[in-house]
Amino acid sequence: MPVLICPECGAENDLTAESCQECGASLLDVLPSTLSNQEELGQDDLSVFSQDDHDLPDLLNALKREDDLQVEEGDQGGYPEMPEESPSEGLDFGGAEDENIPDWLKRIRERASREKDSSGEITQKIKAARESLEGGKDVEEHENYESWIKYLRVQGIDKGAGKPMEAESPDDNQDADEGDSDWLSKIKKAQGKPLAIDRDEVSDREGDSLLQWLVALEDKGKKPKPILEEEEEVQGKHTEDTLPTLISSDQDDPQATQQINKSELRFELPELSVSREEQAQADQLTATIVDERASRLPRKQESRSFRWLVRLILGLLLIVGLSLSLFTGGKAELPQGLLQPHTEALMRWAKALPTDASLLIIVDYAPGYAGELSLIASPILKQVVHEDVFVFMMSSSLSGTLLGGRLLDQLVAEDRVTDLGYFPVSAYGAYGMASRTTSGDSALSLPELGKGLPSRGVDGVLLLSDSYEGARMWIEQLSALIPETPLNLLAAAQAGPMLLPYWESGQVTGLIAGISEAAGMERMLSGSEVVARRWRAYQTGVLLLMAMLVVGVIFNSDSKAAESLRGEQ
Amino acid sequence: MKKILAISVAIVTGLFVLGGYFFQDQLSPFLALIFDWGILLAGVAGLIGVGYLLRWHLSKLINHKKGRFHSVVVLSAFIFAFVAGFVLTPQNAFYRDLILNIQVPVEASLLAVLAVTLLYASLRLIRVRGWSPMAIAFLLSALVSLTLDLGLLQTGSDSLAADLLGILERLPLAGARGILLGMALGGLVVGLRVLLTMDRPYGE
Repeated sequence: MPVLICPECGAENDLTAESCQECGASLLDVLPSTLSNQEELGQDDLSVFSQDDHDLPDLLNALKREDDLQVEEGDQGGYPEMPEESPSEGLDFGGAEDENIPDWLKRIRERASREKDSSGEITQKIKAARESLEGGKDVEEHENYESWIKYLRVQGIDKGAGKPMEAESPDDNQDADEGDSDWLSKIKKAQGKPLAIDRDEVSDREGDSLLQWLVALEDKGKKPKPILEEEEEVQGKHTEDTLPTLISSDQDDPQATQQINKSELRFELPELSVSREEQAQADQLTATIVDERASRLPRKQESRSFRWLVRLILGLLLIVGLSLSLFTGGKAELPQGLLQPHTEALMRWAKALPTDASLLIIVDYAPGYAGELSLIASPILKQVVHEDVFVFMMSSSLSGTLLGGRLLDQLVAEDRVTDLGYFPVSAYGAYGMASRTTSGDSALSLPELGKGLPSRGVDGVLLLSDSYEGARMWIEQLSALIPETPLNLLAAAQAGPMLLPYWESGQVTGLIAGISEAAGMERMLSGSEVVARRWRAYQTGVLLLMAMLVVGVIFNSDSKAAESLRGEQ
Repeated sequence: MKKILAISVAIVTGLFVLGGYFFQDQLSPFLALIFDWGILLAGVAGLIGVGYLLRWHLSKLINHKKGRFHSVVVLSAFIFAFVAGFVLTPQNAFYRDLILNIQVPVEASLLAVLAVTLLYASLRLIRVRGWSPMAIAFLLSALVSLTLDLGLLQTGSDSLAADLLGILERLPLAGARGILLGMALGGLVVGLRVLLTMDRPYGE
């Protein structure tokens, strides 16, 4: 009889019902089901099991098919034999041993025969099957189904018991091992279940139905108990020195267990190999986490307006001070100590230079230092570069050609300047240039690689550089290539101290480093104060820098925060 | 095979250049050829870098990615400078002023910002470290160096103060020369390691 099965509670409803009579869920979208109720099952002469396989649930169908295959192949494992105290045997109410059974059991059987609800579903089904067997219908088939159902019950009890094999008695264990076929073992292993059952549990749960077992089997939320936990529990129940005697004392049985001394057991921990790099990364991560979780002192809530006011005052002070020092008139007072010996040597070379001399000017500074280098070079260039001097220009910086052209543009006519082009000294060193000493000085020929030093020689070399590295390469190569030619350095203040040893060793004729020395030379050569005023602005800027440094250190130091940081470190 | 070829080329080239310092007359023509090759390859590498940069900015502009306005500025400046340099030549006074009047202030401003940044970094160092001996030494050395750089301290020629001032002025030189010696030794070791193929900066 087709019914409507509620998708919420599973209750059976009539085909005309629009909602479940149990839970009230809507049944409008539910299709009629051909599953019959329990009464029909009993009256249908084991109809569920005698129908075609498609009437079985999927799991039962799969199990049955596998078992059928094994039977056909003549597998000796077959269906498991149930023990003597099998619950199905106890349900054989019409057996010959009725005479020996006690009275209380007879009363129970009588009541069970009258009341259909007194036994479980499986019991009812088996009873109905036996009745049909007595009727002579499909004897073999029903026997197979009977034993198969018995075996399924055992498996369902396995599922609910979850006990390991070791907890069983030896006889039960042996029976279970014999009854377990390969496919059942695979299923049990896949489900993470132990391979044996506890017969006590079987007897306690013999009234459970197959459907309940299937529900429990599909209940994924109910996870099996981990084996390790069970082992710990077992260990906790026994003495410290020994482990329990688990199953059997039969020495011939390979599966039998013996009493084992706990001291003989060796629990090997898995080896954990950590490389040094991984350890360093882990330490760094740990340090980062510790640093993030460390308690920090709350930042002081300072007034934004106050800080803004302080910054404004400092900015105005800096701008006004520099502007006054730059644009106010007056004679710049220069100390006498600005004129250094290497500066005097350069001045002597400039005064001794002939009027029709040829000079090689090497531009080796970046545009950012153009202002400083032009101030440094202008006094000496005004002294040595005039209309009668022939100038060769070579650059080793990317913008050297442009910077050199601007520097010489107002000092000498364009036709007196020969641009030897750009040479990448920083990339290849000056040796490439030095190896072309025999090449001509044709400035207009391309490519630039064909150019080299003037073959006819020069009366002096002026190297304008902003860094020690660039100047060093030129000094090393030129002092070896044209050692008789005077080499003079016009360097930025940052490179001056590093280049001073070249003057002391005699490789360099003269040296000017920084605006201060240029101002002293300008005073000595021309008496002008162009560089001296810049020098005064420079002094003002340095003084303001020192003042801000001192004030900032005094008012900006946070001793508590520093102590906290040192404590963390 | 590729590895062996690269190692062989590196060793032969290095030994050839090194030998050129000692046998300049015999090896000068070959060294010039090698340097020409090197500079040519460097130029090609520069062109590749320029092309890659242009492609990156173009893709950024075409795909409407964030910051494409900066890509527009970069591409416009590049195209303008490139075309103007070809038309006017770098020797042209207008082109020279056009480039330098932008480039010089920008780089000088960066250096000025660098000075202020260094000042702030020194303040932060002392703020974080507190009044530790290293912080005090750093502060004193900075103040003394700046004061000496001003040139305001004047002494007699043969006095104890002049000697003391000379010692203070030579302190940075001594430290800098020590650093240079370390750099020279490091460069020598790196060169030897490359020649002996212990280091392979030419890649694998």
